[in-house]
Amino acid sequence: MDGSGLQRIADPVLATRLRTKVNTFNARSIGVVAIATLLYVAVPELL
Amino acid sequence: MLGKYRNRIMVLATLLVAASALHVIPRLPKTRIAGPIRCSESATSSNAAVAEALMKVISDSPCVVFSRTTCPYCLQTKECLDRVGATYRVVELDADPQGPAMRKELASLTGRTSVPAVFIGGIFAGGANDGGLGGVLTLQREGALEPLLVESGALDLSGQMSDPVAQLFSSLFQGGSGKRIAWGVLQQDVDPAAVPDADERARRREVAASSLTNIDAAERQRRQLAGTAMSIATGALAVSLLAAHAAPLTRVAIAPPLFLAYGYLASAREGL
Repeated sequence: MDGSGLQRIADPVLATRLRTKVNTFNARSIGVVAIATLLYVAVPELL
Repeated sequence: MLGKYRNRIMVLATLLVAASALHVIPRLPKTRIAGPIRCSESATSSNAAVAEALMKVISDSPCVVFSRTTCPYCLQTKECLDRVGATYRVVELDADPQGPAMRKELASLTGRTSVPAVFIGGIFAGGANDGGLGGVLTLQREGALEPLLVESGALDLSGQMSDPVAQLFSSLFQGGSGKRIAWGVLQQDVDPAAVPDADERARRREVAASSLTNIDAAERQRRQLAGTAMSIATGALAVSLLAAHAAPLTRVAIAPPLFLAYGYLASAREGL
């Protein structure tokens, strides 16, 4: 992140906040893709 | 003749009983409150003793929840604290002999009579969704609960890396290895000559911390490019599957490229 390559985050509070944000991001991505796939599969069948 | 007024007499009798009950009921709490207080001094001294005990509990505990065993918001709050792994003390006011007196003192301390009342590091954090700093559930939603708990000593995150997924990622992407992430999953050697000076690195870390991002601008550009390419490929696949009248189950094949396309684009946008 700072240009020196992969580094462990020293501040545990910051690490936790970032982990929470990443977990939320991942869950949202899975949800969005699941809904889009479902629509793509189901809608043509209904038309 | 009596029969004519029977209904009125019954109503009057009921009202008299009700009035009598109303007269009696307010006396009950006084008895119940005065009884359990163990201090033998005057009421003022007893209140002072309860207040002192309350302050001691609040100041001695990294996190303390004043609760009632039957209160659903208290249950939600305790579940939330359990979920984040906090160590906390619970004072069930309805199960404690000094509960009613403590509740009075809490009300004068917080300006609220409702429970739960949660104190983290001696600070009134609120109830479940409101009061104080906004309430435990609100703080958790905003990502502010864990930092408070860590600061107060109620949450120890040093053992978090023990979970298998975290361990796997930690071993795959090791900090201080002289590698950088490229295209989301690959690793490249860092050119030592291209590493910025200490001040610039500190500035970048500060920016990343304030925006909660963990990849740099170059990697975001790469992911934007990968996401765009994957989107085009996903679109082409979607059209061709429809054109070929593919069966619904076959069309599920769209999910993996769609996941990559969305993931790369969202990652580039969010900096994660």
